[in-house]
Amino acid sequence: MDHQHAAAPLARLIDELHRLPGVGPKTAQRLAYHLVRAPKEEVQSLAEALSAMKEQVFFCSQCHNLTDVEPCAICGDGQRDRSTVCVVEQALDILALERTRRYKGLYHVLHGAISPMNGVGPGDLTIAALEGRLRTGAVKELILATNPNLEGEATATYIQRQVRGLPVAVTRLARGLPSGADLEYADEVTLARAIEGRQVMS
Amino acid sequence: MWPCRSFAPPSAPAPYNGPVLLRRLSLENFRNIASLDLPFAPGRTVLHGRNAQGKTNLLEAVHLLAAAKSIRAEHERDLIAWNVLAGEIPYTRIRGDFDRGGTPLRLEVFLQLEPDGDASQDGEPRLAKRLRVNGAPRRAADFVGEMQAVLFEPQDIELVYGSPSSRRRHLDMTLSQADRPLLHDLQRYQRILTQRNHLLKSLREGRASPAELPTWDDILIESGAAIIAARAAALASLDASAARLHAQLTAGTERLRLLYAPSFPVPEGGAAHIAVAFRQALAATAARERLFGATIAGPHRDDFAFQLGGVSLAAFGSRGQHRLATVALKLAEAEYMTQRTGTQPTLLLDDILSELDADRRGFLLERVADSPQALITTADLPSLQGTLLRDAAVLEIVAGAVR
Ligand SMILES: [Zn+2]
Repeated sequence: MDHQHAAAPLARLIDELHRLPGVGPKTAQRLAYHLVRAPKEEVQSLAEALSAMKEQVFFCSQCHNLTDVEPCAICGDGQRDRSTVCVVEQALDILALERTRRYKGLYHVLHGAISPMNGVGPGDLTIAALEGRLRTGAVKELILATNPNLEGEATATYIQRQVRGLPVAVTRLARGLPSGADLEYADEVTLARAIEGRQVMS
Repeated sequence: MWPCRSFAPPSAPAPYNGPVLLRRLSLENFRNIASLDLPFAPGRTVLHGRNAQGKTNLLEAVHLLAAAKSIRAEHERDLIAWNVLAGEIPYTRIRGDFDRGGTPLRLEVFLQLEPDGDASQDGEPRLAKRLRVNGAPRRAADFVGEMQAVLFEPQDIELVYGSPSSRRRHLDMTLSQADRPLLHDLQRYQRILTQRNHLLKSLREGRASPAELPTWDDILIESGAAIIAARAAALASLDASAARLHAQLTAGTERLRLLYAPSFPVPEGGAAHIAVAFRQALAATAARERLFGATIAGPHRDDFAFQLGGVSLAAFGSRGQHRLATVALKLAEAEYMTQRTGTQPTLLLDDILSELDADRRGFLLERVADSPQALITTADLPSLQGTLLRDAAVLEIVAGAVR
């Protein structure tokens, strides 16, 4: 996007915003000009929120969810069923599943899905750490809740192949999820049904 | 594997076995047609006019409403007329209003050059395609086959001796109209193939681990076996119909055959057996795959061949034999669609009658008379006098407009 006529600090902000996912050149410009007109305190608060987030949020050593305590609130909750682990692609997927209030087990966040096209292989995900968790023997059921698109299915297939031989039952979210959909955007009813209707992977 | 099919949205249209009749066609900036809004009646409509006046474009537009893509593999941006106003973003709109047993059905295809999108790989502006059914946006896999059409055109004979990819494309476009699950599988297979080929290239360059390959093998085999099973069944049906129609058309004794030529020997017994054979074919080609960085065996390399009396038509047939074989194929395709969906397709005959002698023309016109709707173009209206087309509606097309 051509913003060479914008003042240099403004042009830099537009470039930074444009790098964010889902923000096109037009949106980046609109946000930047909004911030120029916003009260100073508002912009200060946003800047502080950004740096506090970066300083205080890290990955849980057990489930790789985003957290500001170690272990995270879910892993640290003694009420949760420690024999079940639900594997998701993104930390946001946990929020979606938690909203259903149907799931009482633990999670494992992969931080992506296998996609040779995009140069993402199993080594770029937290699959080795997941295998480590399974080898402790505490986990009896593994629920693969990757997205119902090609990359999500490939990731689930890969994990299923990797954990063959370990004493853990592997299930997969199935029914009700529309093809090509992202878990993040699935509605609660659909997702609740999908958890209940999960299927054993042979 | 878990049942991936359960992810597919319910896509089967409500059971309806009657015809889907074109009642109105509206075009904007479609090839040489700036604007056109034309009512159609059931039965036969003859569009006549001299060559290059736009008759063919009308039929192509109707076919686009059935298949959601151009009959030719050429760039779809060529469908957009370039005589749009200066400063306006080039676009074309094709809209068909149909009568589906008393229920109106509106199909729309909208193509537009992306205003400030990135250029595609070939440096041309990207093309955005939007499909709508009764005003609601649809993906191609949920649009194709709402109405079905079979297009007969002079270039059909190229199917006999043309490239395997052109035959594959033709077969997929035809079968998809009557088999949406197959279309879903074809689109999915293409994405799997792209991913797997990227992985093979990464393996060749040492950027990936061989442990990643079995996952993509599993997914490729499952998807590919379903496609091969569907194609094998469809070709068996097309082969039987085309042989019968060809015998009637030629009164000849030499049997026409349409033979499936898959990229590896395909066993009888359905997708499960095909999957075993596909896995063996992947194993047999593994070394070459790693060398080329591409998947060698699979339905993306399928072909089919025309034979007459046990001899290859591509190698030995005359132009006249090619013509009759492809007319038989097209009529067989119409039968296939009717058998599979219960709905007879619209027949689109683009300047094909002049390619046939009086007897064969008579046979084809009997078929046309049996179909609920047919659009027929000709540059030679008098030649149709005295045929079954005497009760047809007649429209004259001049310079992209109806006279
Ligand atoms: Zn945790």
